Amino acid sequence: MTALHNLTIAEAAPLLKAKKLSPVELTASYLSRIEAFDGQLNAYIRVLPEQAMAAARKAEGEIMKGAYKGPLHGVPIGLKDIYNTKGIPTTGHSALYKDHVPEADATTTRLLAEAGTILLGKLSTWEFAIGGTSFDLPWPPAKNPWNLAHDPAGSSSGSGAAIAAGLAMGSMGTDTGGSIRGPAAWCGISGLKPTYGLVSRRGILPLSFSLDHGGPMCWTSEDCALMMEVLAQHDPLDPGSADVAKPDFAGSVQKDVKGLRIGVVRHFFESDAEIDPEIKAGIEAALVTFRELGCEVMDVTLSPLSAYGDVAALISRSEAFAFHEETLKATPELYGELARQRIMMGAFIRACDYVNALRERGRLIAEIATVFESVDVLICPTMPGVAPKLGDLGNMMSRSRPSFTRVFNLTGSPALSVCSGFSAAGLPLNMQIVGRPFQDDLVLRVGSAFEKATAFRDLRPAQWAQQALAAE
Amino acid sequence: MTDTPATPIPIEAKLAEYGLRVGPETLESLKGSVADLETAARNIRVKRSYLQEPIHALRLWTK
Amino acid sequence: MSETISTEAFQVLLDRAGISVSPANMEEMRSAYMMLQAMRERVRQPRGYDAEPAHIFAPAGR
Repeated sequence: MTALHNLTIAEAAPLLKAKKLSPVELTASYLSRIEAFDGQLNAYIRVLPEQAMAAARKAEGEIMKGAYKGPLHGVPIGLKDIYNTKGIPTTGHSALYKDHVPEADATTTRLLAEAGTILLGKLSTWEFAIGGTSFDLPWPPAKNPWNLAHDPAGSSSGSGAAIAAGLAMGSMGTDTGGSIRGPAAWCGISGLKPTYGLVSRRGILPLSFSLDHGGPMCWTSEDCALMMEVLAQHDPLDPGSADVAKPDFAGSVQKDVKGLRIGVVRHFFESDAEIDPEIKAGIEAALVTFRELGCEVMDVTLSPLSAYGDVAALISRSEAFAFHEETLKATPELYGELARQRIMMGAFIRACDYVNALRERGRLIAEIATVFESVDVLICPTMPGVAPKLGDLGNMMSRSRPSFTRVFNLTGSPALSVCSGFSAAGLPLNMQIVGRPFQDDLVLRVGSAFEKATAFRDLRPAQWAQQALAAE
Repeated sequence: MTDTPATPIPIEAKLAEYGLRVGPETLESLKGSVADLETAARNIRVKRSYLQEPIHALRLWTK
Repeated sequence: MSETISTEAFQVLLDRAGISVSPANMEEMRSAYMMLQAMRERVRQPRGYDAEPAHIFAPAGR
């Protein structure tokens, strides 16, 4: 039998439902792995063993009584530590919020609990989801399970690392410029930034109100779909929440992709920005796979990557500074160096530039909608390269960094990162799949079809697999 | 207020920075308007919960 | 808009914003400021009056 920590949610759910797998046994297994390995990985800021075991016993009791709630019932998960948890500190990985104990759960925290998930703990993040890989915070940065000397990316660093290392079955990340998809890419997992408005932001510490998205990170796109079944709910407490019918996520990932039209935003990675040849080769190979699956593949043109970068920077820095201004002035020493510097830049953007950036945002949204009249999904890289060494990212604030991810924070489009293979050095390659607003189910279907057609989901980080094998 | 610089920046310097030109007759009344705006900004700069979001939102859906 | 800003002029902007930057980080911040200025110049393009902001005010129930 597959080791418990290598089960996907989709594999575990029928076993849990049939009472062949105990939520208590499953949770204990994850807690024991966290105890054994997280000292090296730093994926968790706070582990909640007593609470998790109590929730597991409750879930077991419910399932034994026949009150099975669905595919997440009894599934151990972790939350990025900017998701509010009632009575449990929610720190944003920052000294400023070290003692911040929310009075209420985030809407998403509540929905996941109601679905019967088991909260293992709170996961590390870049400070306030912006600070970068920092070494001057109360907790150390997470490391990459594929090679502990490498960066897991951020800001949802712990969420990505925990999934890849088998220290949680599912996790929640947030994404303002790529913070779900970046760690998903470098940690070799699946991570969905849903359509803006589909998943509530209520009770998630804000970075940039209009660019923030919460979403699932799992080993497979199918598991992300199962998480979305629970997460996609209209929330009147979130002004951006969409009151739309929930797509059939679980059903969609069981369908094939024959006949779908895939648009490749080739100029993004062939002329607008330089990418690692291994990432490009991974994408070209993926396009061959999609053709074999019956898809039609064509190149499409959007505005240059830099046009998105400009608008995203002006909006995100303005909104972040609006939220942080007072505390940044009153207690700058409670921020790490990277977060402090990045947020401060918002002080220099004038109101007219912010408003004009919003006008340009409207144009970019209209442009992508036109492109989506002739294709069903878009494909481009998630990250331009594989994970660099931990600490090598540095600040780089004053240098232009091409980003394939923040494009879709601006347009609000659903965007999924999947693993598209491995580099010669054994680090995950990546690919991004993007869809029309509220067609997150289709994006997940394409990601899942790719994962099922390739063998990349069979490979787990060797270092961890070997250690786990020795432990068992 | 922590956002008030120790040495206030003259309005003439601000106008020059933004590339705006006004005649002397406008300058005095402009100073009054700027003061009003600064007061307005100060008045709304109060401690807010992070749960209080801007009411303008990105809306990609229709009902 | 000039492409560079002197350390003195940038210090004025910092003072006006009420934020302080350590001497060690001054150059990085000043460079980042210039990059930001370049971004804002690129976003400043002619637009028709129908180019509305993407964010809308939707009163409750609409």
